[in-house]
Amino acid sequence: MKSQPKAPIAQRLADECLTLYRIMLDGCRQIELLRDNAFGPGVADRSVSELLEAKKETEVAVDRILASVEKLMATDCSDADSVRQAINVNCMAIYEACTFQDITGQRISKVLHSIRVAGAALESLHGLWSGSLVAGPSAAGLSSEADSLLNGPALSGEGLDQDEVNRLLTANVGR
Amino acid sequence: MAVDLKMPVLIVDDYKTMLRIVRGLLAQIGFSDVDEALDGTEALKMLRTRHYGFIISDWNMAPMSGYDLLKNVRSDWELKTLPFIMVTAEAKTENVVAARKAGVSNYIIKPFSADVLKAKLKTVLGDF
Repeated sequence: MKSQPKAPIAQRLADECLTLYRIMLDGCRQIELLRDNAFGPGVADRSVSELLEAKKETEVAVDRILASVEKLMATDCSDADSVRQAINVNCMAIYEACTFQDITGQRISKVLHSIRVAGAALESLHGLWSGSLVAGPSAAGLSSEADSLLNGPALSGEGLDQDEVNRLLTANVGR
Repeated sequence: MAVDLKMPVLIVDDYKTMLRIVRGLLAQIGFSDVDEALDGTEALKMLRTRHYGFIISDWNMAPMSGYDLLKNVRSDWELKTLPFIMVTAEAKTENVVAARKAGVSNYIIKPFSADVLKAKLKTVLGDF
């Protein structure tokens, strides 16, 4: 029986070690992406805050819509002018209240983005640990799509209100 | 000179509910000729086929955002003076400053009231 030459075994070992090193390096990279984009300091907390804010906005909007409907139903229908005025005022209030849907939609989209980033990174990790060297979808690719100027709706206490925006628009800043 | 409430208006938003709301508020104010676009690309095409009195646009849309639409409008010789009101949830200083530098006529933070919309329209267009 022929003994195998030592050099190829050493070469195979070196290759295996290199492969293992690459898998570990890719794993570390995916964990870093998870930490930065989905579970990093503030990211998960932020997602929870976004959902709580969306829940609160929905409650406020439904309350405003119901209040307007109740006012409409309580209108004295014997007086045409007061009926017309009640319809105008309360329909405007209902329109205003309905703007919540856009804001909550954007908040939920931000949370969905974080979940997708986490899912993509976990899929990559699973691929690496199950022996496949082919990385899954890149979490980095998902997060880099966001425009740096797109922040979405602010949380309570963050961002500018309309008065502050008005001041900024009229302030004498260099163009 | 009083503002012509019959002027065509273009509203741009990727949320159809928002388009309905803004259309409804504009109708209450008196504007009845309102066209809709779902993103900046569609809006730009419409702006080049019809003469609008003003445009109300959201910021966060794909493929062309309201910010990119604003820059396209301001760099177009025929559209550059068109009153452009941004209505958006983007409430950071950097957003307002960027929009101002790009030439926005006014900026409304969502959620907004009918009174704010009317006041901004008066600021941009004059009394009506």
